[in-house]
Amino acid sequence: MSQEIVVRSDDGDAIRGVGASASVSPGESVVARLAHFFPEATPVRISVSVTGGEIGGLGLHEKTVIEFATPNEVLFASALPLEFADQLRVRNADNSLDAEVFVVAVQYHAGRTAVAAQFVKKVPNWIVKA
Amino acid sequence: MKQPSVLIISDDPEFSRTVVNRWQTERLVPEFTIVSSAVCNGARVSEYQVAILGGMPTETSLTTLARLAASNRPAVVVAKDAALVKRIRDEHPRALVLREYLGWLEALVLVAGEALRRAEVMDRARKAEEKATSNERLATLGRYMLDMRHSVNNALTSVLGNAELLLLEPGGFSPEVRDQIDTIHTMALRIHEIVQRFSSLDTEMSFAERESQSDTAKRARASSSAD
Repeated sequence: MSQEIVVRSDDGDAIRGVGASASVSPGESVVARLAHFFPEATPVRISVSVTGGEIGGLGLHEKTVIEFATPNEVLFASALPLEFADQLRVRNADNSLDAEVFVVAVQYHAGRTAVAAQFVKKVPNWIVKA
Repeated sequence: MKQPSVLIISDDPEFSRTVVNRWQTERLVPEFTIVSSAVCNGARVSEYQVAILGGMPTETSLTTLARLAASNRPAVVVAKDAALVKRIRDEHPRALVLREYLGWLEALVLVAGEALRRAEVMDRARKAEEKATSNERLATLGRYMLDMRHSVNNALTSVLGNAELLLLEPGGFSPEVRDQIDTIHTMALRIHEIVQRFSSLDTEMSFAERESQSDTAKRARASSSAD
C-alpha cells in the first residue's frame, strides 16, 4: 500500500514522495530488475529532474521519477544517454532534494535504461534511512 | 525467446563502454547490466547468463569472482597482468580468463557470445527434460489404462452376460425391474465402447510416435546439412 512520505529536516526543508512498505517484486519494470542489485532498495515515487553531461554542447536534462531508493542511492528510468560513472544532479520541484550523484549501475533493456546513482555527499534530509 | 543478459562488473567506465559498443556490431546483442564491484559485492544476483569482469584491481576481481561462484553462471575475466591470470586459474578454475593484449575485445565477444549460446542451449535442454519427465508420467498412466483394458473387459463380459440372461426370462420380473436390468445392460455396452476407444487410441499414439520420430530425424538431417 503506497502512502505519501514527507520528511522535514531541522532547517525546515521537506522531501515529498510516495513510499511503500512492500519489498521489491521481481520483473515488474526495468528499474525493479536493477533494484535486485540493491538489497536495501525501497519502492518510492519521487518526481525529479535530472541534469548532467552534454551532447554537442547541449546540457542533458529530463524529468523522471525515482522508483527505488536506498540510504545512499536512487534508482530511476532514464531516456538520456547515460553511462556508468556519469556525474548528475537530481532535484525535485521544491528543491528540498538537490544532490550531486554519480552512476554506479545501469541496465539497458529493450531501448530503456534503468539507472542507479549514488549520492556524492550525504543528504541529511533523505527519506530512506539506514 | 527471452533476451539473454550479460552482467558487466567494472570500476573502469571505459572498459564497460568499450565492451558494450563493440557488441553492437554483433548479430545477437544481449541486454547489458553494468555495475561497479562495490554494488556487485553487496548484492545477491542471478538474473544473468554470463558475467564479464574487467578494469578492477586484483583483489577486487578475486572477491567478486568468489561472490559470483554461488550463481553457477559462466564468468569471463579480462586481466591486465599475468599474476592475476595465474591467481584466478588457481583459485577459480571454472572462470574463463583473457589477457588484455591486442585483440582481447574480439576474443572476449567471441568467448562470451559462445557462453551465451551454451547457456541458451542448456536452458532449452532443461526445459525439454522437464517436458519429457511430464510426458513420461502421462505415458505411464496411459500404459496402465491400456493394461487395465483386459481386466475391465472381463468384468464387463460377466455383467453383460448376466444382464442378457435375466432379460431372456419371460415374466420373471416386474416391468420396473426389467427396465433397471435393461439400463445395466445399456450402460455396460457403453463402457465396452469406451474401452474399445482405448484400443484405437493406442494405435493412434503409436502412429503419432512414429511420425514424430520421423519428423525429428528429418529436422536433424536438415539442420546438419544447413551447418
